[in-house]
Amino acid sequence: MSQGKSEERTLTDNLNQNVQLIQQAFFHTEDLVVESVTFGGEEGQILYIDSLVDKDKVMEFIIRPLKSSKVKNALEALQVSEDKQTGTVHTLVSELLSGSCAFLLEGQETAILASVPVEEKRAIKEPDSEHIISGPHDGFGESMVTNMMLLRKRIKAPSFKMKKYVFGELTDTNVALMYIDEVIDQKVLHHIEEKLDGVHLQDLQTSTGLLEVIQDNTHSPFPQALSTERPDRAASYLLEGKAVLIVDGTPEVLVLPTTFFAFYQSVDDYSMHWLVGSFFRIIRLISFLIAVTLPAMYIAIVSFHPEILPLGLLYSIRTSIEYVPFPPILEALLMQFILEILKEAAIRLPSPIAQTIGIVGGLVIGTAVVEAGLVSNTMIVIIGLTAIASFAAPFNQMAVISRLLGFVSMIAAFLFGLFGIAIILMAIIIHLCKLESFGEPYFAPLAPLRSNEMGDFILRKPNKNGTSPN
Amino acid sequence: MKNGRLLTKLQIYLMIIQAQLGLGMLSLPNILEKQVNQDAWISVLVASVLVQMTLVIYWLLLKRFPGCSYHELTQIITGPFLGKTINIVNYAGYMIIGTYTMILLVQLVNDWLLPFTPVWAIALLIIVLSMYLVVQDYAVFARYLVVLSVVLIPVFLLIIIALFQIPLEPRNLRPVGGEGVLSIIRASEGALFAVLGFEILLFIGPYVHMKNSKLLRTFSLANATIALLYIVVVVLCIMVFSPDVLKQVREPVLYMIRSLSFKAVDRIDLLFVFIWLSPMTASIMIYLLIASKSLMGEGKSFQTTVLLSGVIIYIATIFSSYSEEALQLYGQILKYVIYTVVFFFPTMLLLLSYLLKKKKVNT
Repeated sequence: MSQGKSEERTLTDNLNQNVQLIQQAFFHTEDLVVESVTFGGEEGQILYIDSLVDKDKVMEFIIRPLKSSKVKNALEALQVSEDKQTGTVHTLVSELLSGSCAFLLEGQETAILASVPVEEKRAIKEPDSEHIISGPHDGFGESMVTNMMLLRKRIKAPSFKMKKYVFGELTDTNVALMYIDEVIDQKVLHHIEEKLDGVHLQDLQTSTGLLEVIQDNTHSPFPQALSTERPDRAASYLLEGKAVLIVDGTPEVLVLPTTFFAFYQSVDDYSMHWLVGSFFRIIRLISFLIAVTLPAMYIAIVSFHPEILPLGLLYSIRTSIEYVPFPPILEALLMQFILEILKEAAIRLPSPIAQTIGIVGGLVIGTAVVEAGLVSNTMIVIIGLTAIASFAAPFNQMAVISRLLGFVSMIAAFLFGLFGIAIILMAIIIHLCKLESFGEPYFAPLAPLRSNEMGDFILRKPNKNGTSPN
Repeated sequence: MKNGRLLTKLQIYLMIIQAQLGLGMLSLPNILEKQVNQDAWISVLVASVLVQMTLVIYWLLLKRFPGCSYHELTQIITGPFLGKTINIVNYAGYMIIGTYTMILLVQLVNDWLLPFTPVWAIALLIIVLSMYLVVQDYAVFARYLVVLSVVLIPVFLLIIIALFQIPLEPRNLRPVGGEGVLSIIRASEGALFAVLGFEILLFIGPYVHMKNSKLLRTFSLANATIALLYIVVVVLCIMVFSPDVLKQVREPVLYMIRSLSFKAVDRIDLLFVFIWLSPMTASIMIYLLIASKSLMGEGKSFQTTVLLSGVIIYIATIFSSYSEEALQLYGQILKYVIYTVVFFFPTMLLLLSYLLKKKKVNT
């Protein structure tokens, strides 16, 4: 590969040869602009990649000063904040790719690099996937620097540190590891750094891509780092002593290590009265249990243990499933599939069409399917409840996982009834007990039991980390 | 010793409770009633006193050899050869108790939840689950047992509901002590088997680091809690059922729960079995764990031992469930196994360690 060769190559004192060398390194791409300038009587060339630099800046701070300058030294003539010199083609190439402009002068073996990147920014707005009712409404964007700014604005401690990594041979993606040095557990930090040091990637585009390489257990369905687009959430975890990974180009920021229960906490818990906040947390945790077990319970009871239900209820259920041609398991799987398809179809459509799909899919098909006798009433109720319960999770990652586990427990219930569900639930709990997120137990503070952390786990205890004036 | 893996007081307390709960509770009133009628609850009391004494012996061992697991301790006291022999006997003993628990559990599932599902399928699920947990070793195991404590909530709720909903007959309890001291003590053997599982404490050594007095207090508190729970359950059953019925129903606790009636749920007992499955499988997991621990300490060889032992339990369960004779044989040797492994060996080791003045020197 030419990149390997260009690594050893250095510039010569022949201007034309230098320009050719660089053009070769870029495989003669056409957006590499070469402009001639004369500086102090000598001939020079300015090189930059068209799409990566701000042309106004190039004109104003590089070409114009060079042309009108009286100084002999080109470095002094340039009016940009970041400039440096290099003699190797490799550095030159990578600098050009990150938005620099190179100035080559006849008879010089080094090029002057001036950083003039084009800055295209999206306005800071609230993330769509993590709406809250009360609390701040800003969100992370694609630019790593902006994201860091959003966090720095919230945390002004001098010990709030940043460590930069670059991953991806082809993408050269910047990754920032941020943490508050006096709060974070050094052991955890060490674990994370060790993982990051061992990363070798061909390309890196999403934060999930990075997470999949660094997480402890790749096969676990549970996400081992929390990815959020909310700076307030990231900041509050930083203050608790977690680290944050920002991948340039993605608004999702990773918080690690995390716990299972963090996925059921929302930032608005803290901007509401603590009783209200605790109430919603309990509701969310119950909704996880419902999403995993409700359809399975229904299948187990209807097909194995109908005697659990009182006669009246049993009778009405029996009459509703009397003419349904499928066994309960198929019925449930069918409805769950339809639901997932509806969700997939609606999610990528513009919202007016998505609403139509929702109405047609939900109301029309739902009613018609019952009237046609394909699915029973009770099953519609069960599946509807399950879907709503799964969406009550504040994070979409967890919502999907709870529905997936729901499928597993449905199959277990179909094969072994209540016994099957018990086995699946035990297996999930064992797995959660075993799972670790960057060396920290995932199911904490429940397993291992940490009574001092219990206050902010299911309940949201009132703020006591300060004193009032009295 | 890895930091952060140490158990706290609360964890140990909940762990012992979970270890002792299990299959035994469901049929305890029936077993005792057969022998001592209305005095069944006194037998539970006697049994818990015996357990307390055993716990003190265990505690003394732990105290004398801090940071040591049981399988290391045997070799320190009696030397490598005898120690290994004892470990192998322990292994066999725990395996037999574990297998027996497994057989009973499969039977219970067959009786109450899945009458037509074959034994091999039920046992397979249970053993695979157990192996999955036990290969993770002690730290994860302790975490899991603590999480399981959640199942205590429905038990307490049901007891309270039963107290108010079912007509109770306090006269069933009289005459107190009418069966004579000797037979009460003899019957406590049955209760003893219901509270087994605390042997896990012998292997707790490397995972605790606290004041010895605190440790003993935690042990005693857990034992007292279980004793109280069992006495309440037994007394309730005696008051709910007439003596003749109680002698005939095999799982009186479940039948008692069955008689509770709710508008939305008719057979609450099935839901109770559903919840109770987790402490019952936990007993099997405990024996799988301590059996493997007595052979191999930690690491890869431990995991292989767990897997192998799991397979052995599975095969033994299937064989004995298809032949009455094997099951009877099991029942007969079980008693001696328990006495040897749970009571005799630790006591003997403690005495030997005093006689030979062996003690672990703190490094």
